[in-house]
Amino acid sequence: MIEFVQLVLGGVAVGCVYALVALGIVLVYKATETVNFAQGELMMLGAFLAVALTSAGLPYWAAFAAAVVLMALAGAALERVVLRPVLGRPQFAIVMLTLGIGLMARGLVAAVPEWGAQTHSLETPFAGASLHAGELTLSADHAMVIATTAVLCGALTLFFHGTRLGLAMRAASQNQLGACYMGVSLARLHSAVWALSAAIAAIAGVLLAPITFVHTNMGLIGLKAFPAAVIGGFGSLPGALAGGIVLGVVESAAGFYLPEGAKDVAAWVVVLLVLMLRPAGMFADAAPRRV
Amino acid sequence: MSMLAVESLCIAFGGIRAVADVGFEVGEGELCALIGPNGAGKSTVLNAVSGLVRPDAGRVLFAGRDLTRTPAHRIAALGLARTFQNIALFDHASVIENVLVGRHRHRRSGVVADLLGLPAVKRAERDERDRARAALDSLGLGPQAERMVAELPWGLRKRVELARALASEPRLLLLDEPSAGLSDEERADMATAIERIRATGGPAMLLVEHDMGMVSRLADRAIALDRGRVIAQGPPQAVRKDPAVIEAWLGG
Repeated sequence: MIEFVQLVLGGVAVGCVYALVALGIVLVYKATETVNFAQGELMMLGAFLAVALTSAGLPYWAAFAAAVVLMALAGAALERVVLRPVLGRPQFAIVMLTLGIGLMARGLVAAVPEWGAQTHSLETPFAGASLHAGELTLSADHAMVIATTAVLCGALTLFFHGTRLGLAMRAASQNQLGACYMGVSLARLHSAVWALSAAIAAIAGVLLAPITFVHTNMGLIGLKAFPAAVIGGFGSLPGALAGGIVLGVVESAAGFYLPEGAKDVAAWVVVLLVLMLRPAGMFADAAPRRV
Repeated sequence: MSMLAVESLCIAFGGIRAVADVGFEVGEGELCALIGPNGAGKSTVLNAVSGLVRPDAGRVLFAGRDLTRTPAHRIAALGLARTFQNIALFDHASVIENVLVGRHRHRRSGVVADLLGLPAVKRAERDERDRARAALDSLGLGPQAERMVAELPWGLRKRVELARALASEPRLLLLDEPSAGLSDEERADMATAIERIRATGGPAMLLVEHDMGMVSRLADRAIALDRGRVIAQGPPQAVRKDPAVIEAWLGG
C-alpha cells in the first residue's frame, strides 16, 4: 500500500509538469484558436535559459524568475512577429508553422556552442533534500513541482477572475466579436496570452530540469501534454490540470506494475478510453461550442 | 453637429453592390431606424459604421471624427456600442461579468494593481460593479445578475446584450434587430426598455428593424433602403406611405 501511495505521489509530481505544459497549450488555443505544437520547445528554452543564467553566476531563484520573464517576452515577440501575420489563414498552415517553430527552437539550441546537444543539469538549493511523513518520502524536487503548480493555479484563478485583463481574456475566448466591440484589443490580447503561456512553459521547464536534466529533446514532453489536454476536454483549464495529473499517475503506475514499454503507451491508452467513454473530455463545456 | 454622419457610402462584395451611395445623419439624442426588405443593405451599413466592414468609398463620421480607417475595438473605445442580431455574449460567464466587460473602455487599471488589490483598485472595482448593477436594474435584469448567460432564454439574452452595450456609456448605440426572435410579449418589453433608455437621456441610436410597429413606436426618423440605396427618409408614418417604399416591399 505504502508503495502505491509513493507511486501516486511521484506520478502527481510528473503529472503537474504535463499539466503546466497542457495549460499553456489550452490557454493559447482558447484565446487565439491556434494549436501550438511548440509549447514543449518553449518549455525546453525556459530550462536552457535557467541553466545558462545559473552558470553565469545567478542564484537559482533569480535565474528562475529571469527565465520566466525572458520567456514571457519571447512569447509575446513570437506572437507579434510570426503568428500575427498568419492570423486568419487556414488552421493547417498555422499548425505547420508552430511545428516548424518547435523544430527550429531545437536546432537553434543545438547550435549554441555552450549548450549543444548534450544534457545539462540545473543546480538547485534543495538538491538531494526530501520530505518525510511516516514511511513516505517525497523528494524536494517533486515537492517543489507540486507546490509551485498549486500556487500558480491559485494565481491564475485570481488573474482570470479578479483582473481587467483576465476578464478580457475570458471574454475573448468565448466570443471574439463581442469582446472586440467592448473595446478589447484582440491583437494586444493575443500577445498577452502568448506571453502568459510562454511564462508558464518556462516555469514547467525550470521545475522539470532537476528531475530529467536539460536537453534539446525535452520538448517531446508535448507528446504527453497533448493527451493531457484532450483528456481534460481541450479548452478547459481545470481540465488540463486534472488531465495532466491523471496521466502522470497512470504512467507512474504502468511503469511499475506493467512490463517495460507500457509506460509510454499508457498515456495514449487513457486518451483512447476517455475519447470512447466521454468524447468531450472530463471537463467539457456544458454547451457544445458553436463553430 | 450630428452624432453620426454617413456620406456616400459604397460597399461591394465581389460583384454585388450591397451598399451604393448611401448617406444619412443621426442627430444627438435622436433615434433613427434603418428599414428595408431582406438584402437591402441595412446590416452592411451597420457593420460599416461599427468598423466590421471597410467601405470601398465614402465616409463614416462619428461626432465629426472620421472612422473609416479605425479598427473596431478603437471605435468601441470612442463611445460607439452595438448589439448583434444573433447576440454576441460570453455564454459561460455570468450576466454581471458580461456587463463588466462592457465597462472595459472606462477602466485603466493594470494587471499588477488588480492582483495586488490596491485600495484604489478595490474602490474602482466596487464602482464598476455598482454601475453594472445599475445598468442591469434599469432593464429589469437585477435578479439575473449572477446567472450564467447560457442558462437564460433568448429574450433575456437580448436584454443582457443591451445592458452590456449601455454599461459602456456610449454616445451612439447601434441596435441590430433588437426584436428578432422575440415573442410578442418580449417585443413589447424590448420596446419599453428602449423607450426608458431614451427617457433617461440615453445615447443617440441607430436601429435596424423589420417590425414596422416597433419602428413607428420608437423612431424619430426612418431611413428606407432598397438594393443598397436610400429610397425614402423622414418620419416613420410618412416613410411607410411613400410609394417607393410600398413598391419595394410589395413589388419586386
